[in-house]
Amino acid sequence: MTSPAAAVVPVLVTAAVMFFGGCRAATPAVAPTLAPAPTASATVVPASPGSALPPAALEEARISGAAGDVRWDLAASSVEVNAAEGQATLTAVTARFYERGALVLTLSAPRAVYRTASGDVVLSGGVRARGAQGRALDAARVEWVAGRRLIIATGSVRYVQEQMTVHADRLESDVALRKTRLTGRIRVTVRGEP
Amino acid sequence: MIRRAALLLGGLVLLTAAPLLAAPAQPPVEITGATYAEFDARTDTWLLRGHPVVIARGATRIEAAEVRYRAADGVAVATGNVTVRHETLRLRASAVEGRLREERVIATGRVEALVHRPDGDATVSAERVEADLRRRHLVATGQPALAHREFSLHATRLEYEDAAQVATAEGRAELQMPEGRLEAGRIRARLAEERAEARDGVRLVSEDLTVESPQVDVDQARGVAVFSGGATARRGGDVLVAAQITVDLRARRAVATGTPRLVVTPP
Repeated sequence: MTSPAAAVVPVLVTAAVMFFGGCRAATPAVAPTLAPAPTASATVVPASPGSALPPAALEEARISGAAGDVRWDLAASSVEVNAAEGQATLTAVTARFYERGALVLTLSAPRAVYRTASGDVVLSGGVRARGAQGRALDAARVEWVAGRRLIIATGSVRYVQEQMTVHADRLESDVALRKTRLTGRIRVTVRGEP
Repeated sequence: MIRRAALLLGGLVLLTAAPLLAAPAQPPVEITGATYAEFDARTDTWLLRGHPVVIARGATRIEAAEVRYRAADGVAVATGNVTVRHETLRLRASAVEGRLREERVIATGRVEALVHRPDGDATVSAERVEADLRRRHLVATGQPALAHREFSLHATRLEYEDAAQVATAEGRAELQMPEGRLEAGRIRARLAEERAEARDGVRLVSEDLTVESPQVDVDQARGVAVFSGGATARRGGDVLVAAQITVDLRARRAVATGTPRLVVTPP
């Protein structure tokens, strides 16, 4: 006997694959896939006028993609797919970025939006990022710009690197936080031996 | 029993003394005023730009249009209208390398260091000044000069110790005074006492008077110079030779002691 929720899942998976498959041609640098976790449950949201597919909500889902050497995946407790707007809205998100297979940055945020046309991801609501060699970043909002393969952090940006803490209005960096640019009102504190 | 008590007491002393023996907390480095910052992990260097960028650590403050800071060794290279302030010292230069761990700065390019003193500021100017901020000690090279009140000191190399208020000029040293010009291989000026000592090929020129000797002690406040070690004074065609000649530069009077010999040439 199949439960009603389990019966819905195959429909949603198909819908999601069609949805993202249609966008792939527009963003050749990014190849995202959407696959719900094995235990996922979902409900269908009523269709919006003029959209080809109905908006959909998933739980315990993952979205992954790649841009050049950078591969990423998003894990969220829920995903709402809106074909009409060309985006997926995620909650309780953990984003992981890999370079040549190595994990270089992990971000967590209450919310995120994945834009299908560009492959960009915007994390918001207070983002915490942890990179290699103890580098850390906190900001109100962090955007992954797939076309430029960089992240842009805005709003109360706090960047920590060893004994150094940098506050700024905006940060722009590669995903490994190797080359970082900060602008706005910058304040740096170096504790201990400089 | 006594041994155990002694050990316990020793341990207690060590435990209570430990916080006192701990290294004092280092003051943090605070950088403000920057509107642009860039970090490159390959070079481990921060580039900061601002109007100006201000680096402060304890009593030291460096201001500049651009700063490159290497976190690994705590070296900040500041360029563009650089000002360094530390207690009574204010230094201006085109570029400054600040070694923050050692509390040393190396300033280059038309350097001017001003030391605030109660009896009048002393100014050291040179092409290069190395300052030990902890010791308040300056070493200036590249046409260095020290100006204090109505005196100025020039040489190939000039040192200034602010704690002792002593300036030492070496290599073609020259002390300019209102009464004349003193040249020597080495001149040591004690600013607070207004006294100077010169060694190695001493020569004083005061209007038409010239005095030469191996060494001289000058009382700048009184305008009196004591030439010793075998001195020769010349004025026009007259020559005075003695073991020691004391010259009152203001009264233009000389006293010779130690087998003095005077040769007068009629005009």
